Amino acid sequence: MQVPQTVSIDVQQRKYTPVPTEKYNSATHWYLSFLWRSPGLVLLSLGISLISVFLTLFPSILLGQAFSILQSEGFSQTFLLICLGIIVTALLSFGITFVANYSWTIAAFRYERDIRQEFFDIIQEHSMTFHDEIDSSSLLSMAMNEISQMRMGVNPSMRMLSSSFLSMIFITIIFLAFDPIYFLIALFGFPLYLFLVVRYAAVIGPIREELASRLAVVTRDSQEIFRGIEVVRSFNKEDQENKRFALGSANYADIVTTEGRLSAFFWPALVLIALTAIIFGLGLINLADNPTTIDTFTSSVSMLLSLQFLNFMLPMAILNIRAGKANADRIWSKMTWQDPVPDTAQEGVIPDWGGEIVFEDVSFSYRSSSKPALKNINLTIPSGSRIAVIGGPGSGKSTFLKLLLRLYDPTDGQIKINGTPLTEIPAAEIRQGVTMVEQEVFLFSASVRENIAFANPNASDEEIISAAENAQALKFIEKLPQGFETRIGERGSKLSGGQRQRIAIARAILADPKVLLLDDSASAIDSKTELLLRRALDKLMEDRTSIVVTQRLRTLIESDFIVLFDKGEICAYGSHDKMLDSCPQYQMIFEALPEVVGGRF
Amino acid sequence: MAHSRGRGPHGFFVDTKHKKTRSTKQLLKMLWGYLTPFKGLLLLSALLIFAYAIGSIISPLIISEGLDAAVATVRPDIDFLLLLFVVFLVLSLAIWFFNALNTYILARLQANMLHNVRTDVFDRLVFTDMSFHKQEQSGNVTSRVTSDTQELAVGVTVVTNASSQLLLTFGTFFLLLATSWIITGIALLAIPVAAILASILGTLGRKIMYRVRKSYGEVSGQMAESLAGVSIAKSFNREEWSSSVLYKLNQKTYQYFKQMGAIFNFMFPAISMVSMILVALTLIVGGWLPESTITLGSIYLGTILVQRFLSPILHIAMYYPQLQSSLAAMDRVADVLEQKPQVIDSLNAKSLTLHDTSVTLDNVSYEYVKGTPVLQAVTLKVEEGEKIAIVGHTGAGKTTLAALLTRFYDPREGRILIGNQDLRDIKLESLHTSIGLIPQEPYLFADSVLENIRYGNPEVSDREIDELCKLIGADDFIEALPNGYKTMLQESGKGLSSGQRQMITIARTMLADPKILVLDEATSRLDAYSESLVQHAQKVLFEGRTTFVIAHRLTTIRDVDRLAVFQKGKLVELGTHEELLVKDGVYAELYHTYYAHQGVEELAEVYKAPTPEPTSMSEVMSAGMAKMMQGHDMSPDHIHAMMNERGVSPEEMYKMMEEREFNPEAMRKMMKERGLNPEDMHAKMGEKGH
Repeated sequence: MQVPQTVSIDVQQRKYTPVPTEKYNSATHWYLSFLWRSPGLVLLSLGISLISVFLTLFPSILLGQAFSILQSEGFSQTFLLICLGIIVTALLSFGITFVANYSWTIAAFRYERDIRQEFFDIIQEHSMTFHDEIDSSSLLSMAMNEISQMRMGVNPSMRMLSSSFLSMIFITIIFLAFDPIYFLIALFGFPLYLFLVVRYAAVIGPIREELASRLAVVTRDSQEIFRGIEVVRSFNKEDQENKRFALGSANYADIVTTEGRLSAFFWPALVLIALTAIIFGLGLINLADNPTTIDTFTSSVSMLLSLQFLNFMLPMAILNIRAGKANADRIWSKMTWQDPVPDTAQEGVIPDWGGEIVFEDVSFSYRSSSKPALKNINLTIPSGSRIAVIGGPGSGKSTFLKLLLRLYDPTDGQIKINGTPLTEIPAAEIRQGVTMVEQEVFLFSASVRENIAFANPNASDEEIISAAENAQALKFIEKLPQGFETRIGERGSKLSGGQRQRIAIARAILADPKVLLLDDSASAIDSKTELLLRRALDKLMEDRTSIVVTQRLRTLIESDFIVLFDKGEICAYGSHDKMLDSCPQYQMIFEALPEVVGGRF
Repeated sequence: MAHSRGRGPHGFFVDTKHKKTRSTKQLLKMLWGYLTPFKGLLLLSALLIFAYAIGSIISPLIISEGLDAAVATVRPDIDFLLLLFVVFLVLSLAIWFFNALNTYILARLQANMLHNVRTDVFDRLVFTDMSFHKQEQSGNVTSRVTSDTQELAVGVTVVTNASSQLLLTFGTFFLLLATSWIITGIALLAIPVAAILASILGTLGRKIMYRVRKSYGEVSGQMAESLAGVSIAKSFNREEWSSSVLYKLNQKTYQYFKQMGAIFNFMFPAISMVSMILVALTLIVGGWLPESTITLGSIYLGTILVQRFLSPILHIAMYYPQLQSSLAAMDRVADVLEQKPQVIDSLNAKSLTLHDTSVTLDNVSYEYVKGTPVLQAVTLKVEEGEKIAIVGHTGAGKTTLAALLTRFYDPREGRILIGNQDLRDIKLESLHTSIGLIPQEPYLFADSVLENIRYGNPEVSDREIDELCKLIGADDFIEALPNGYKTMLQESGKGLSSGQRQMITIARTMLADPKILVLDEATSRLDAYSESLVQHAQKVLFEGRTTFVIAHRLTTIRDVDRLAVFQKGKLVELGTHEELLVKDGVYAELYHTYYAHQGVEELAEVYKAPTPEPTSMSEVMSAGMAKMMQGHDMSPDHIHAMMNERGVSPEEMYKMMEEREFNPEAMRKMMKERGLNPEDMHAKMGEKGH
C-alpha cells in the first residue's frame, strides 16, 4: 500500500477559525456531532448497513431452505443452487459490510482529527488565567487519550450498537414470517435483553472509572518515589513508601477483582440463552408435528446461535459509548471555560506607542490565590525610557510585565497607553508592539530560522541573518550542521542554554517591538556566554522603551529609573544614585548583587 | 468466550523487539513461581475450562440429535424431545456459568498475582543499589512497576485463553471426525485461510500500526509543546501557526488511521465470509453423501462445527506475539528481582556512634565501568564541624564522592570512616539518620509545603516547622504562597522558583538534624534576592555540622573552611581559598573561569566594586556602602577611560575572548602582559578610590 508522505491539504492556506463553542450547545451535542459532520459517509454507511445486516442473516434462511429441499427432494439442482446462493451471499455480504464499516470508520477518524483540532484551537485561545489554573499535562491527556475514547465511543461502538439493533429487528421480522409464537418471543425477549444490558452497563460503568483512577494512583506513587529516590533513601523512608505503595496496589487489586466478578457474570446473557433454548424446544415440537418445518427450525436456531456474539459486543459497545460521553463532558467543561475577565476590546483600536504608559491604581490577583499579586500600582513610563525592575521572588515584578503584555487584565485600576486603557485595545494589537523575553527561554522544535522568524514569518533572509548577528548568534548558527535550517529538537534541546537565550533575543529583535519586556534576573553560567549575552541584550534594548527585570549593576545604573517591588507594591523608585542614597531595601539588595559580592571577595 | 476482555487482533501489534537475556524455560519457571500460591485456583480454572469446552462441544450435538429425533421417526417421542430441550437449556446455562466463574477466578488470580509481583518489584527497587537508578531513567523504572507487571498478567490470561481455545478446537475436530471425515476435511480448509489472514495482519498490519503509533506520538509531542509554550504563541500573535503545525500532523495521522481502518474492516467480514463458504461446502458435501451414511442432523451439526474453526485458530495465532511480549516483560521484571544489592548491612553492623563526626577518606577509589576510574586514591580528613567545599570541573568525581559518603555505593578500594567506624560496618539506617544529603535537583513531593518539610521528621509539630522556617528565613515566601504552608506543590515544583525549592529542602534537612551533611549545590544561578536567602539558610544549616558541599556558587566557597579541588578523579589541591589562589594552579584557573565571573558582569565592572578585601556582610553596612559609592566617579565613561588608560578597551576584551574561544589561561596571560593583573587591580582600585 502506498503511503502518502505529504499531506494533501495545504497547511498555509487552511483558514484558521477557532470553532466557536456556540456552534454546539452542549457536550452531548458536540459528542454526537459525528453523525452530521460527514453526512455523506454516515448516511451511506447507515443505508448500506441495512442491506449488510440483512445479507448477514440471509445465509441462515437459505440454510433452512437447503435442509427443506434436501429433506424433500434430496441432492437436487435446486439444492445446489441454494448452496451456491449461500456462497454468493457471503461474497456480497463481505463487500457490502466492508463498504458500510469502512465509510463509518473514515467518518470517525475524520471526527477524531477535527474534534482534537477544535479542542486545541479553543484551549489555545483561552486566556493565561486558564493556562495557569489547568495543568498542561491534564490538557494533553484530554487531547490525546480522552478524545480517542470519544472516537471509540463512535467507532466501533455506535456502529456495533446499530448493527446489533438492526440484527434483532430483522430477526424479529423474519420470525413473523416463520411462526407467530417465535415472533412474540422475540418481540418481548430482545427488548428485555437490551434493557438489561443497559442496566448492567450503568452498574459496571462507574466501577470501570474507579478502576482507572486507582490505577493512576499506583502509577503516580511509583513515579514520584523513583524520581525522588535519593530523598527517600537519605531520610530512611523506604519502609514507609513501601507501605504506601502496597496499599495503593492492594486497593487496585480489590477493584480489579470486583470488576472481574461483575463483567464475568454478564447476567443479561441468560435472556438470550433462554430465548434460544425456548425456540429450540418449540422448533423440535413443531418439527415432530410437521417435518416440513425443518427450514424454519434450522434457520431460526442458526440465527440465534449467531447472535451469541452480542454477549461480548453489546456491553463493550455501551460501556464505550458511556465512557465517550463522560470524556466529552470533561473536555467540554474545559472548552467552555468562562474567562473571569472577558476581552471586550473593539477590533481595530490601535495603541499609540508614542505616548506614555500609565499605571493608575492597578491591582491584580491571580484567581488561584487569595492574595493580591500587585497592589495599587501607580507609575508613568515615558516613551523610549529605560526602566529597571528589581525585587524578590513573589514581589510582583513578573506579574507587572505580564500585565503590560495583556496576558492578564488588572483586577482593579487601569493601565493606559497614551490615554487609552489597555482593556480597550485587542490583545493581538498590544502584542504586536510589546515583546517579552522570558527568563526561561521557550523555543519550538522547529528550525533555527522558524524560531527566529517566529514573530514575523515573512521576514527576508537578510533580516533574519541581521537579527541573528545582532543577537551574537550568527557564529554558532553557521557552525550548526544545516545552519539556519537546523532543527533544534524539543524545546531547543540540541542547543546550550546560552545559545537558546540568544535565539530568543534574535526572535525579539526581529519582532522589533516598541516596548521590550526583558526578564534578565539570572543567566548562563560561563563567562564567555555571559559577555556575548550582554552585547546581545544591549543591541536588543537600543531605541525602544525597555522594562528590564535585572540584577546587573550596569543595567541598574544606566536605566532612567529603577522600580523596586516588594510584596506586590512599589516600595521605591528613582535613579540608582537616589535609591542607593535613600532606600534601605535597595541598599540591602545592592549589597547582595553578584558584582558587589564578587568584587569584595 | 463470552465477554472476557480479549485483546482482539491487537495482539499482533505488540512490540516484540525486546531482546531477552534469559531462556524461555527460565522465564516460565519464574512466572510459575508467582502462580504457585494460586495453585488451587488454577486447578479449579483448569477444571472449569475443561467443563466449558466439553459443554460447548456437546451443545450442538444435542441440536442435531433433536433434529434427527424429530424428523427421522414416524411417531416422534415428545417426551424425549422435551428432555432434549431441558438438557439443552441446562447445558447452555452451565456453559455460561462455567465460563463466568472461570473468568472471575482468573480476574481474581490475576489481580492478586499482579499485586504480589508489583509489591515485590517495588520493594526491590526501593532497596536496590543507587547504581541501578542512576543507569535508568525514572520513567523506565516506573514502567517496570506498572506496565511490565501488567504485561505479565496479560500473559497469564493469554495462556488460559489459548488453552481453552485449543481444547475447544480439538474437541470440535474430534466430534467432526466422528460425524464425517469429508466434512472434517472441509473444516481443515480453515487452516490455510487463517494462516493467510494472520500473515496479512503480521506484516502489513504491523507496518501500518507502527506508522499510526509513530504519527500519533508526533501529534502528542506537538500538542505537549504547544500547550507548554502557549504564552509565547500568544505573545507573538502566532496562535494560528501553532494550530496549523498541529493540523498538519493531525491530518497525517488521520491518513494512517484510515489505512489501519481498512485492514481491520477487511479482517472481520472476511472471517464471516469464509465461515459461510465453509458452511455452503459442508451442505453440498453433506447433501451429496448417500442418505444412509449421514443424517440431516449430522449435516446440520457439520454446518455449526465448521464455523468454529477459523476464529479460534486465528486467535491462537494472535496469542503467540502477545506471549512473547509477556515473556520479555518477565525478563525485564527478573532483571529487577535478581538485583543483588551490594550495599547492605554487614553481619556485624553497628549503629553509628556520634562521639566523633570527623570524616576520613582513606585511599578511596571508585569506578562505574571497569577501567575508567571516577575517583582515584582519594585521601582526605575532614574534622568534626569543619566545612569543606568540593570543587572541580564536570566529571571530576564530585557527585560520586557525595554518593560514596552517603553509602549509595561502596568504594572499590580504600575505606571511608566516620570517627573510627568504617561506613561498611555501620547500619544503613543509622547512617542515613546521621548523614543528610541534599541532592542537586531539589526534589519535592506532590504534597503540601508543610508535609514536604515534615518529611525530614514526622514527629515535629506545625509550630516547630514554622519556627524553623523563620530561623532560616523561608517564612516570608511560604506565607506569601496562595495557601501559605498548606499550599499544595506539584512534583515538578511548578509555581516555586529554584531558590524557593532549595529553601524547602534545606528546611527539610534541618528537621532531620543530621550531624554530617552532604550538599550538592544546584548549578543554576539564583537571582540576587534568592541568593542571599539561600546563603543565609545554608549558613544556619551548616552550623555545628561536618559539612561537605559540592560548591557551584561563589558565596558558598567564600563561607567554607577549606576547599578540596578535584581533577579527573584525583584530589589535586587542598587548602583555603587564599592559599589556593596563591598557588595559582587548578583552583586558581577554575576560580577565574567559573566562580569569579559570577560577580563579574564585565571586567569593567569588577573594578567598580568598592572594597578589595574579603569582607563579611555585617562589616560593610549598607549605609556606609552608599557613601563609598558616592565617593567614586562611577560613570561608565569613567571606567572606560580607566581601561583605555591601561590599554584595553571593553570591545577589545570581547574580541580577545571570542577569538581565542575563551581560553582563560591565555586571557590572563595577555592581561598580565598589559599590566592588568585582576588580583592586583583590586588593590590599585582601592588606592585610587581612597
